[in-house]
Order: sequence, then C-alpha cells, then structure tokens
Amino acid sequence: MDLEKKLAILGAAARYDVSCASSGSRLATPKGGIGNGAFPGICHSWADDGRCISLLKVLFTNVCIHDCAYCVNRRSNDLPRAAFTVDELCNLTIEFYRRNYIEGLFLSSGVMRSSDYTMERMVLVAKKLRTEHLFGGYLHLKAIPGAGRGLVRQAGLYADRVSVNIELPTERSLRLLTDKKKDDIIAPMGEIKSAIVENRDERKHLRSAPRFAPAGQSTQLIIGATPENDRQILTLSDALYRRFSLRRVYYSAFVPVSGDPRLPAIATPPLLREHRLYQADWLLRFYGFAVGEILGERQPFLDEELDPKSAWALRNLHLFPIELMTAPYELLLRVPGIGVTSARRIVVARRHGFLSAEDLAKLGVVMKRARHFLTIGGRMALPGSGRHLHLMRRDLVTRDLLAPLRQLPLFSS
Amino acid sequence: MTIIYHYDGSFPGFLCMLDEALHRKEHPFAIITADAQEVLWGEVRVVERDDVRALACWRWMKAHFGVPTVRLVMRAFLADDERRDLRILDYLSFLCAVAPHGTAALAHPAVKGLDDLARQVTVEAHRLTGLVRFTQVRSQLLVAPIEPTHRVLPLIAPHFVRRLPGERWLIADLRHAFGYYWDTVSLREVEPGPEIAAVCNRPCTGASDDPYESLWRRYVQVIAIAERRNPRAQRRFMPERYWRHLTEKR
Repeated sequence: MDLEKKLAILGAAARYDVSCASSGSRLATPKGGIGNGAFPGICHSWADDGRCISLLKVLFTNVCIHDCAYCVNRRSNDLPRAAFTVDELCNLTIEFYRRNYIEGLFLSSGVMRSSDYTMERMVLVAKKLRTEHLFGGYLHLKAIPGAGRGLVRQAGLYADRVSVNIELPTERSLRLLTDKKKDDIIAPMGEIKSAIVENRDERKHLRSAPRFAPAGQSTQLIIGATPENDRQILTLSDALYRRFSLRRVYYSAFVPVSGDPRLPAIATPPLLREHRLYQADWLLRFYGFAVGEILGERQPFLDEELDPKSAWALRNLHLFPIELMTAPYELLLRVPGIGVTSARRIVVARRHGFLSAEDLAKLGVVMKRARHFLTIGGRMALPGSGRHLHLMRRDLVTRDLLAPLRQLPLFSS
Repeated sequence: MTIIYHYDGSFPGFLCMLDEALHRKEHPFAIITADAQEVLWGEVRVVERDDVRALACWRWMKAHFGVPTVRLVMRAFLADDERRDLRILDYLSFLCAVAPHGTAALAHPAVKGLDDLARQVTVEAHRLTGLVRFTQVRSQLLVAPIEPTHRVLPLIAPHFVRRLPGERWLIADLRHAFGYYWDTVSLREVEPGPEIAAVCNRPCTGASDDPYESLWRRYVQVIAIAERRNPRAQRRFMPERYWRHLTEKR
C-alpha cells in the first residue's frame, strides 16, 4: 500500500480524537537537530470543520482487537485497515515539520495483537524521533489502555504529553458499550500522574534530570453517546482536574459512526451541548467556579440558551450589582461580559481614575451583557440596566450562536 | 501653523524624528517619509537620519519609558498603517505629559490606539508562525512566500532560526518586498529576486514535484469531520487572504 493511501486511512481514523494542543513545551532545538517547543502552542491550519490542525494526528494502525460500539475502528466494522512502519512515520513527521505544516506528532492507535505490543511500537516511534532524528518538536502519545507500567513511563520520557481517553463518563456505560475495562483505563492515568509528581520532585534536586511529559496529561469524553447528564460529566472532569492533575478534559460531540442499537439515533452531533460543556469547563479552570455553582442539585443539564456564567448570574441576582471600582478581581470574573483579559485590564486601568462605560467597552468588556451587573461609583454602569429580568435575559442569550448549533433533543422520552 | 514632519522612512530616521518632535513638544499635522513629496501647505520640518542621534534617543526612551513601552513602539512601527507614525508620537507625547510609566491608562485613546496597533502586529506574527509554508526547491532549499498585512517578518524570522537551524531557508514578504535568508550560519535580509518570484507565482493549480505537498493536502482533507463542517469558523481563524500561499488551499 502506498504512503498516501495509508495516510488517508490512518488520518481519517484519528479524526474523532479532539485534542490537538501543542502548548506547554519549552524544549529547545537539540544540537544538530530540528524543532523546538512553542510554549503557547501554534495552530498551522484549520480543517473544513473549523478545527485547528497543529499536530500530525494519525493512528499507528487502525487494526483493533476491541469492539467498542462508539468507535469507528471497532473490530466488527468492515473498513480498509492499514499500519505505518516506524520509519515511515518518523520520516513523514520530519518532512511535514521541515515545511512548517505541523508542530509535531500526535500518535494514537488501535490495539494490534496486544496492548503492550502496540504501545511498544508507538514508544519506538517517539524514541527514534528524539534520539535518531534529534527531533525537538511536540510529541503527544496516547497510552493504550492495559499497557504495562514500564511502557507508559517510557512514553512519558520521550513525549511532551501522554493521555488516556476515558471516552465514557461512567462505568455502567463502559460495560454496556465496550469490552475494555475501567481499571485498564484508570491505571495508566494514575501511573502518568505519579510519574509527573515524582519527576517534579527529582528535578527539584537535579535540574538535569530528564523531564517526564512536561505538557502534562489530558483525556477525552464522548458527549451524547450515553445518557449521562451534564452534572455527571462536569463532576467527573472536576475530579480529574483535582485527583489526576489533568491539563485538559476534551469533550467530543458524538458523531454516529455505526447503526449499533445500543447507541442513540441522532441526525447530527450535539455541538451546542459540547460548546456549553467547554464553557462550563473554562469556568471550573479559570473563573474559580465550583461544579455545584454551575449546576444545582435539581438541574442536571446546562441551559441551552444561556452560557453557564450568565445562567449562574441570573440565579444569583442578590449578589449584584457589584461596584466596578472596588470589586476584587475574582468577583469581576463572575460578571457576564467580563473575561479573564478584560478583568485584568480593569484592575490595572482603574488605578488611574474612574472608568466610564465607554472605557469599559474599549477594554474589551461586552457592555450589552455586563451593564446589568455593574455600578460605577454607585450608579448603574448604563442607565436603565439591571431592572427587568426579561430584558436582562434578552441581552444575555446568544442568538447568533444558537441558530447554527441548536440540535434535536437527544434521548427523546 | 500646520507643521509637517519629514523623515527617510527608516527606523533610525524615525527615532530622530521622534526625538525632534518630543523635544519641541510639537504635534505635527502629518508625518511623511521620503517617497511622499507633494506637500501643498504648511511648514515642513525635514529631520535627517543621524544614527548617533537615533541610538541616543533609543537609550533615552528605554531609560525614560521602560522596556515594555519601547517594545510596544517597536511592534507598532512594524504595522502597515497610514497613521502609524502619528499614533506612536501621540502615545509618547501622552506619556511625557502624564507620567512616563502611564502605560496603564489603557482606556486613553492615545494608549488604546497604539496598543491596538501593536496587538494587530503581534497577533499576525503569531498567526504567521503557523501559516508560513515552505516549498522545497532544488536540492534542500526551503522557500516560503508570504503576504502579511503588517511587516511581521523581522518578528518571526528568529523563530525559524531557532526551529530550523540546520536548514537553508528563505522567507519572502512579497507585499513589502523584502525577505530573510538563513544559510545555517547567519540570517541576511535580501530582496526577492526573479527566481523567488518564479517560485512564488507558481500557477494556483499547485503543480509541484514535491511529494509531501500532495500528502499534506490529502491529510488536511481526511482529518475534517464531514458532519461538523464549519466553513465560517475556518475562515474566521484562517482568513482567506492567507490562502494563496497555503499548500493545502492552493
């Protein structure tokens, strides 16, 4: 099989993996080698689905011994199969990198023969790139569920990021849709976490100790293939951020890839739900929100019409309006229409005197939303704001977003 | 009286002009460079380029305003914008009048204006680090034509020096007619010659004997999920003005 055909099969097979981040590496170009890390990450192109292409994202092989209902590469699916050789993949990565197409390689794989056998091949690619091609660019390896601890550790020595996909948010769903075991997924995550912690400790004492997965680990959850609600998903993400120190949890709207009766029949992937989950995820990581604040006990799903921060603000009107000139940064962050950047700018700019509503707009605040929640020097930021709930709601609903993303209800009861 | 400043368009010349205007505390009506001759009225102050004076002004600015401000001015100077020089002068006169470290008055029009301009340059430079596409011509030479809105090449060339130190490469800014050539030892500014123009103006059919170009095109095709097609997002992140030189879009 020629290389172009292989690339077409193994690129297409990898497209449902969402992660494409190339950030978090500060690796300098090795002496006599090629490539370095760009700490903020660099996007090189955008595919027709609007997603960024930063890494060459391929499977080592799409041959798989597992038969997961939600996965396009499941054993029982009749489709062309292929596998790279280690050298093919190394050369392809280097040649793409030289032409500035990519930041590096994201390598995942179907399970060929056994977890260890597959993981060994993947580690070999990383090792060869690092030690023979002296490649300093970004490497992201998937840890294959069930792979031995030693191999997972080796992967982390060569790769910037190692990740394990959980895919399904609860054990029940896992049992229903796949023959993989929950412990096989969780074990490598724990292994990576402890290796990262140990490594941090080592490097405190010995700066020259090799780095272990400096860009940390991430995972992915499929949204809408199983009946879990948003609160279950966010609670899981929150636990993953805390317990396993994950850098990112990716959410992937389920794209129907089989007619399996255990899966919901949907016409289009639930993109709006995915979008709201990402917004909530941001609130957890950057805005100091707790899961319980984003979703209450009796509220299993995020609001479709309102972003989670606006929904929270409308439920907590007794906390508003807040005074722009004195409110601490953490409180500014909770105002709809103010983001991390504009909150930072406000804190700097207000030292120089009063800020008007016009000034705020210049600092990047979306006044249409923020006006209902802010006072400046004791007066509402704009007259006539913050009084009528229906007017506030009108200003907070993201209409232009809703039209293209709105989906049919998933599990119609 | 209407005052117009005139300098030669170079960065040292620009610094001399700033030095003159800031010390005279003048707000010129316009600032023009060597190639703009047609001044109908007003008093023209011609500031000659003087590299010693420029260096002195540079050091004074660093000491007086601080490094972040100087960096901001440098970035703004790379912008391709008619009112660029006036905006920089406005900004520095504002800082002189208020406080040298008054950069934090982000909502002031003079500060905001320059901040926006510098940000445009920074954003485009970052974008270009991803969108530069090298084509392999002859044995091992890599050539990348670009047409950015602003003069971002001086900002991104060091990135490629660090990243591809062992390759011989050339990045040519066709819009502003200058380029940088790296020969694995040193970086040189060059004028794009006819050979480069030939490479850059290849027909849009994308005919090329480099096999990795067709591999890349194929890869970009298959990685998209058809059910999530979203050309609007694609264009927002990757504006069409850059497509002409993108291997996967040619």
